[in-house]
Amino acid sequence: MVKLLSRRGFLITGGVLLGTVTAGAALGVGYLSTLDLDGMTPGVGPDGRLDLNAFISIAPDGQITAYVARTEMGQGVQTGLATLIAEELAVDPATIHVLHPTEPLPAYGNYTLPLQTRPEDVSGPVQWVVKRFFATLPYIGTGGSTSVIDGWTQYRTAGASARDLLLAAAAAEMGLPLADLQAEDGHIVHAASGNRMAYGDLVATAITLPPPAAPVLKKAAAFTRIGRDTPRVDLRAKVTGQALYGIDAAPDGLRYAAVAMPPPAGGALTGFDDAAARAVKGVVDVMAIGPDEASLGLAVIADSYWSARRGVEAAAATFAPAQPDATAQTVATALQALLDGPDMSDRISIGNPATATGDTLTATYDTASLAHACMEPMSATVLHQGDGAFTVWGSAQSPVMMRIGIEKAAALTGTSVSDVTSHVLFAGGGFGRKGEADAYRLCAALAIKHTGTPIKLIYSREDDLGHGTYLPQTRTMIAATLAADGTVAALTAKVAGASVGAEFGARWLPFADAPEADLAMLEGYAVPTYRIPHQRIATAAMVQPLPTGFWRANGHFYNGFAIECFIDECAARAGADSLAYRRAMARDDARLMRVYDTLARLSDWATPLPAGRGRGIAAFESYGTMTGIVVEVTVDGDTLTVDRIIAAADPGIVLTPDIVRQQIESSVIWALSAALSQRLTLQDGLVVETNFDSFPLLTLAGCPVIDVAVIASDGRPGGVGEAAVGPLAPALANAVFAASGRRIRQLPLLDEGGALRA
Amino acid sequence: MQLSVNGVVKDVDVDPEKPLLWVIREDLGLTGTKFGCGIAACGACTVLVDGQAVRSCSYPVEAAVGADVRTIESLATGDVLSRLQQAWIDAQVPQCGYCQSGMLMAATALLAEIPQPTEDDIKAGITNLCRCGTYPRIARAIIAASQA
Repeated sequence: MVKLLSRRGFLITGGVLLGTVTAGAALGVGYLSTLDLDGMTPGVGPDGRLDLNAFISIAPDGQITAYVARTEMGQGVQTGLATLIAEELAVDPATIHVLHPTEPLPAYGNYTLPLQTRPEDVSGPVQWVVKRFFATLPYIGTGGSTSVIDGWTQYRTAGASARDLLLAAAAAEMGLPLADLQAEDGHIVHAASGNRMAYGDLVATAITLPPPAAPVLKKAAAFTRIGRDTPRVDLRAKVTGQALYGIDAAPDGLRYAAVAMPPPAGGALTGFDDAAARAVKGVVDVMAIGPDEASLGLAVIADSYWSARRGVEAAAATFAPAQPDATAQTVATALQALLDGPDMSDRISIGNPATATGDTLTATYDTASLAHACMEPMSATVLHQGDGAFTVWGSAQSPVMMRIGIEKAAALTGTSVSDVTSHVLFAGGGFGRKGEADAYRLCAALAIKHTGTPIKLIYSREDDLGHGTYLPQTRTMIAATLAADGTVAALTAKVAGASVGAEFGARWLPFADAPEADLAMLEGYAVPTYRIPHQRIATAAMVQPLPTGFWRANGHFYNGFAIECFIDECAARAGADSLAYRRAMARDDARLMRVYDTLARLSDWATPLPAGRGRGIAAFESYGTMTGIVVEVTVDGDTLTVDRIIAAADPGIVLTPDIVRQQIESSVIWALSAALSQRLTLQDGLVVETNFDSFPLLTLAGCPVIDVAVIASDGRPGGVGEAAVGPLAPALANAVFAASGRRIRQLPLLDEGGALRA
Repeated sequence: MQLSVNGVVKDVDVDPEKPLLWVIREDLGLTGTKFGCGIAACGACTVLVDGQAVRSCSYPVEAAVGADVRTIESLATGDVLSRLQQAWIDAQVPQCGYCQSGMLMAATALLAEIPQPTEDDIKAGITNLCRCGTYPRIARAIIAASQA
């Protein structure tokens, strides 16, 4: 069974797996085997829609609607999965209307994300139970670059199953043998006579027929839509202002809320001016949420967001921070203590580094806590109808998390939750932040107190940046012993940071990963890039003052920085060219070689640059996609200019080349913003950088030339939403070294004044 | 007070200091104009007031009385998109799309002032923030629209 993340057979932590199997067994094999995991049964759906299966309905006028249970947050998932349907259903993807379904069907679950295995590779009785147990939740969620990997077979099967039903319906209606009919451009066609019937005219019959047991999927050579540049299906809505995001939800009777939140590390609510808040025109209620000593916040409800915000300001809530003295420096000290102490957990153990002899070198790398800064701040809109019924609107990465937030709020007052209708809207950026339930918990608490009134809670930008979840701060100590030929014979790395898996689980779920089994902390190491005979990789997690959460590419960002910078340091020690050094040690992987070759060619690697200019390279696999980046910079004193960035990515089969290109451009600019200038400082328990004047995003004027090469290959598709994030920071730092001889081992590379740090 | 928004005069009963952004979104129900930062740093809230790009999150509604306010919803004429909107689609600019209303309004103002902008004009004229990294395509789309 091929594992997605690790060649060493790593699935999910033993504890979670055992718990899942036990829980699944408790439900009973009989019950589990009745679950409609596949969602391929046709019928009449909600509001009389004609469902060929859980993924596709067709109206009598021929309009096709695809139900894509993944959040469109910019990554193009609606277009990608609609293209899979369109390929088998023989229609133009641009004609498909894509919706996020509201029904929490098991067929909509994302299995790749929790199981870390491609669905095609699920086998054996344990996997049978595990997959069905997850179906009972079901975990519907978007993230981890899993949507295409998870949906690759499922959405094509949905299209093929629907096509076969339409073919069967046409055979019956036309009185012709199936073999003489084919699906073509929204019609079933009888080639010999030229007779054709539109899907809209066939669907009513088609949904009465039994679905095919095993629809045949097209071979890659026959693809006519996959691999072509389908225009994204959401473009028109997003250039006309018609696209609705979570923050735009506006059910009738809406009231608005703003909130003052405790410091991110926690804190008691010590006081607020209730009368002053209520005196603000438009304010209808003031409400403290959660017990004062473990406050969740102080909310004001009003007839407009602006009035609610003014009400919060008038309330002037004060909190006693739980960790008033924590700073990035105190965290660094604690990380160093972890690295020096006995609590590191060995995660990868190959050979024995102690037996390697030769030149040695060692280095320590530091990366900062980072915010997501989605352009759309967090929001939640909740209506408590009473008797356990709720309706919720938002741009969440998972409707399950919306429900969990509501359940957490309900627990505060012993309110029942039995029926939650979730409306998932477009997300103005997600990046992991919108997979959290905090806004839904707060808003639901307000909604429960005001049963019958929908309430929309909007985070200000200060709330969003200062009271979120964050990429952990990390420190890595990494050492190598070089063989006689200069290549790395032994590599030891100790990574100290935080366990997002453990923290996320503790926040929201009935189970949590053990920190010593945290998967994100091993990203960059788990799928090796180089043949290194002796390796010891260890990790350790601490609880940091800033709560940590999933952040685009996670460990690929902070581990990628350490690994690919350090490999460059080894190359310099060996007197070798950075690219040649990598080729000499690279694992036997055709995609890696193609990425190196492409980068070498596009960057004109072999031609030296004049003094003061330099190129840096980094390449490794993330989420099933092989990505490499070359950065070209000019360093003049302490002034850094990024002149050009070249990225090459091989995601296996390419669904839509331009969407892959978009995601690479996106990831490069994301990582460049982080690597150059982003940091978070703490003072008196609060984040200092709470708006864009202090937490900078790269601007259009500051954006360098970015050249992208998308390399399609035959392998099964990888995820592309995050893959180019990891290699950027090390390629940039390596370029700075090549241009100036300065090896900077800390992110961000620039100090507060914008100069290269010492 | 009376506001003229997208060519239609509306009566609104709001605090004169209420930011134009929230009047547009809440009192007029036009949600195409977005909230991003509240300090005029990101431009997601950009509208045109008498043809000038204005960051409406930091613009009191009373300042818009008597002016011609245009939002993203005004760019298309029925089903016919503006040159810029079509150029945005042709270049496949939007990813999450949240910043794009503001970007399009800022670009509309730029082209009205500089019909044939250079790359440097675009860098100076478009200071809106985008988190998804659509900048290279925005620049290409503006140039394409200016040549259409």
